[in-house]
Amino acid sequence: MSEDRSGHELPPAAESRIAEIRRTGTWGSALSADEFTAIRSVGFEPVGQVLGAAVYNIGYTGGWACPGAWAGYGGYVTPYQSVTAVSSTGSMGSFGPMVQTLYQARHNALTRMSEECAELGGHGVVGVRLTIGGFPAGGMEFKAIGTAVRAPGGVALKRPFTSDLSGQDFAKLIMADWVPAGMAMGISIGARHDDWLTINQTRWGTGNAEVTGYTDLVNESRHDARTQLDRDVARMGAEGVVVKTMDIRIRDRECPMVEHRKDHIAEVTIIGTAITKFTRSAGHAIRRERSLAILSLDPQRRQAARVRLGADGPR
Amino acid sequence: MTDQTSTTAADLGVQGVPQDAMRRLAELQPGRPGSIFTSDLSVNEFLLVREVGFRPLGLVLGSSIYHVGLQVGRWGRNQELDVLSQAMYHARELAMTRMEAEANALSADGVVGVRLDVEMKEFGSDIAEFIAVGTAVKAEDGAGGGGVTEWRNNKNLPFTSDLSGQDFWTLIRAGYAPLGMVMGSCVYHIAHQRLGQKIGNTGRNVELEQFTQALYDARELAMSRMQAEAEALHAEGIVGVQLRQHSHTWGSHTTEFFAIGTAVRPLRDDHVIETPTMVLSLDA
Repeated sequence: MSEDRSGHELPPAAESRIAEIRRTGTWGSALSADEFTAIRSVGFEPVGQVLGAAVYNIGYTGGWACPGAWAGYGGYVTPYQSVTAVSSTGSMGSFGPMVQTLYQARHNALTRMSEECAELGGHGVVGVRLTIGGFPAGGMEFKAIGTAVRAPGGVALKRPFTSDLSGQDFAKLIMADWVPAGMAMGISIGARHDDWLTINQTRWGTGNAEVTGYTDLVNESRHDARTQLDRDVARMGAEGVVVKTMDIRIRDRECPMVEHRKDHIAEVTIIGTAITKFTRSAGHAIRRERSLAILSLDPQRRQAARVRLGADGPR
Repeated sequence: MTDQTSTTAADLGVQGVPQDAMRRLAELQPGRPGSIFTSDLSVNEFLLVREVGFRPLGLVLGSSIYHVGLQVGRWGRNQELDVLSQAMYHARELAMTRMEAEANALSADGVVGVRLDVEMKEFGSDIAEFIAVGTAVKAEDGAGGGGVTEWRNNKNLPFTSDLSGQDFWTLIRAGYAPLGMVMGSCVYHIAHQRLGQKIGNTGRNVELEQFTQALYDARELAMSRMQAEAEALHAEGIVGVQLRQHSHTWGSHTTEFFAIGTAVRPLRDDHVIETPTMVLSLDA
């Protein structure tokens, strides 16, 4: 089927699995025992494992023209200093279509996952793993897997929340009166022609110099991605976002408009969880004690913790 | 981090906390972008930073892509390669200054959880990206135990610190505040052994004095530069010092020593550091 499912009907296989869960009441989940306990401890119940997937063919990416080349007599030439074109501006040769597709594909995967959650009677999904890979038969596969949870007696939500937080992190936030609103993404692709200034600054014999062209490319692309992230969070009406990953990939290509010259392209992806504060109803307010600093007397546990929490380890 | 609440597991559910949370989500309306905070703190860090009275304002970042010049040392001499040292300093300065400018624009009091990384790029030769990422925070009244009027350092810039959220919490609770990140860098060329020396050392257990000397000199230069930066901030001391050594792409006889830490000052003269509770876990 080539029609684009806007997502109101789940594939038949998913429908039957969910019907089975409803019938027997036995849920499966990808939670560890610790995560399960953490979620239960704040009054939520796991409902079942949910999955959303979409396979896309990326046929048209945009980027057919070079944004920085100047029109000269008889063709395009390399300027002294060019500009970075980011995907959101929609300018000539920007990668807007590619970014829109990346957004749409991830959004579809997340939405389908949320719908499975809603059918199971859940309020949201925790521990979401969002992956992209090549699909064996061709195309790119976008997948989102997580565990649906339910707040017993809570008001039904039009759109269940999603979050890539672990069960423990989710429980800590709830205890501190914060709740995840959804996963937020900021994606941007920036392109920049290698101008003469850049070429001079990167010559073999040049001394120390900042390469202003590449710096500009990287900064503009990241800035655009952050702006898109802000917009995504605002669309949900949330108060803030806790960023989990910020990746950048840079590659070069032959310039499509000027011979023997290169363009550089930076792709930035930022993913996080949007969160918002909630107030407890009168009568539910309790006085929470501060965090407790402990000094573990068990040398093996401290050694293991030191090894685990390396310079860039989990915090 | 350990959270202790005075309720049991069932009570939170009975008290209707999950239902309150769902009611809030059902009320969310699309808002305006710009009034939102962003942060790359982990959940643990986010909650601890809030607990000591700081509010995250936004993710701040500064980066610079730098072309590192060439410098060849004299084959037989230990010497600092000052062109390369300058390059590493300048590039990191650019990244840090831009990050501080973003924090300043947010009217932040400081930046926590700063990651300062350098990554050599595959495109082009001798090109590296220096990037500084952190979360800008603002102090609320009562932060740090109350009575602290100024969190910025003596250059009227927001403080920066590469301390994690957990270390920041511990520092503030101990009555100290960060002033700024301080660093010292030295790129050193290690002398090659002369042929006669090399032959003479074969098969013997002997100290390679030139190499030892090079190591000491390079480290001392890096650490004394870091010290000088801390003195310029009128700090009482430096905590969380990391001493890193890498050759980047320069080969085995050229190496960079890099020392980085956070300069701190006491918040009040009579600070008392709480004794932590000692715990012995009974589980395996």
